[in-house]
Amino acid sequence: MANNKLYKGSLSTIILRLLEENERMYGYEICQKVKELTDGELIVTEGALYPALHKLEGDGFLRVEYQEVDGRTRKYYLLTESGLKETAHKMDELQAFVQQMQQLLDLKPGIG
Amino acid sequence: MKTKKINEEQLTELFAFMRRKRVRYYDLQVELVDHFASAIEDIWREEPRVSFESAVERVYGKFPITGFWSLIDQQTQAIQKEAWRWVFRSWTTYFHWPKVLLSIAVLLAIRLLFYLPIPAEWLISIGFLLIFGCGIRTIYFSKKGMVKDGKRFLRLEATYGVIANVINVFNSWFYIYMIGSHDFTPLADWVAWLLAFFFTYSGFFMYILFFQLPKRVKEDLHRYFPRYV
Repeated sequence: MANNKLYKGSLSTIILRLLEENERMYGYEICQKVKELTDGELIVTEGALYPALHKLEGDGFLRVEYQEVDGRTRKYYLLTESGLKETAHKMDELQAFVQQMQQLLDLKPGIG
Repeated sequence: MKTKKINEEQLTELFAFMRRKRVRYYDLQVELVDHFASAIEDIWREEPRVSFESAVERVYGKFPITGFWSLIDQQTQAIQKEAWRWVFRSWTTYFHWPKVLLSIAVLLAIRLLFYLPIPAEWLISIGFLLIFGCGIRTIYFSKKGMVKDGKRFLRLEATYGVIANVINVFNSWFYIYMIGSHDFTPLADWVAWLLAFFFTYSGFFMYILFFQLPKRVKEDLHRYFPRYV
C-alpha cells in the first residue's frame, strides 16, 4: 500500500482535480474514484475527506447542490469560478513540487 | 443476482443512528446517511449475506475514533467562514458606485443629526441601542416558523452563531463607551464626521448581517430542503 502520509498535503488538490474532470461528485464517489484510479493504493479516509470538502466549500472553491437519488437526498459538490482558478494554481504548484523533488533525488548519480 | 438496495426502513434507521451518534443537524445527517447507504450497498455487492447492522458498524469503523464530532466542528467553521466572506463582500459594495451615493446620503443625514439640539451622548446611545434591537430581533425570530418537523440545520445555527458573536462585540464596545468618560459638548467637527462615518458603515454592516444574511440562508435551505424549510 502507498504511504498515505505522502498524499496528505495533496488531498485538496486531488479533490479539486477530480471535480474539474467530473463536473460534480458526492463524498462517497470521491473516495471510490481515488481508490479506483490508484488501483486501491491510495485510500482517502472519510475522516479526512469530509473536513477537506467542507473547508473547500467554506473557502468558496466549491458549491453544493442536492438531488433525490434512490429515495435519499444526495449532496453533490461542484467547482465555483474561483475553484476552477484554484485548481489550476494547485496543479501548477504540485507539478513544480514534483519537478523539484525529481531534481533533488536525481542529484546522486550526477555527483558520482 | 440483483444487488441489495437500502430500503426506506433502513434509511430511517440510518437517520436514527446519526442522531444516536449526536449528529443532530439534518443537513449533515443527509450527507452522512447517503455515504453510509452507498457504502453499505457496495458491501452487499461483494458480500450479500452481511447483515444491515454489521454493514453499518463496518462503515462507521472507517470514521475517526472521535466519531462525527470533528466533521460537525469543521462544517461549522466552513459555514461561518463562508458567511463572513459573503457579508464582507456585500459590505464593500457600499464603498463603490452606485451604492456609494446611498452611503454619502446616509452619512450626511447622520452628520446633520449632530446639529440638532440633542446631546451627542444620546444620539450615540440610540445608535448602539438600535443595533442591539435589530440584532436581538433577528436572533429572536431566527427559527420561528422556519423549520418544520423539529429539524435542526447546522447552516442555520452556525450562521446565527456569527450574528450572536457580532452582537457580543458591539455589547462590549457599548459597555466600554458607557463606563468611559465622555463629554461631547461641544462636539468637535472631526469627531462628528468620524461618528457619522462609523454609524453609517456599521449600519450597513448590521443591515447585511441581521437582514440579508438570514434571508440568504433561508432561501438556500428552502431550495435544498423544500419539505422542511
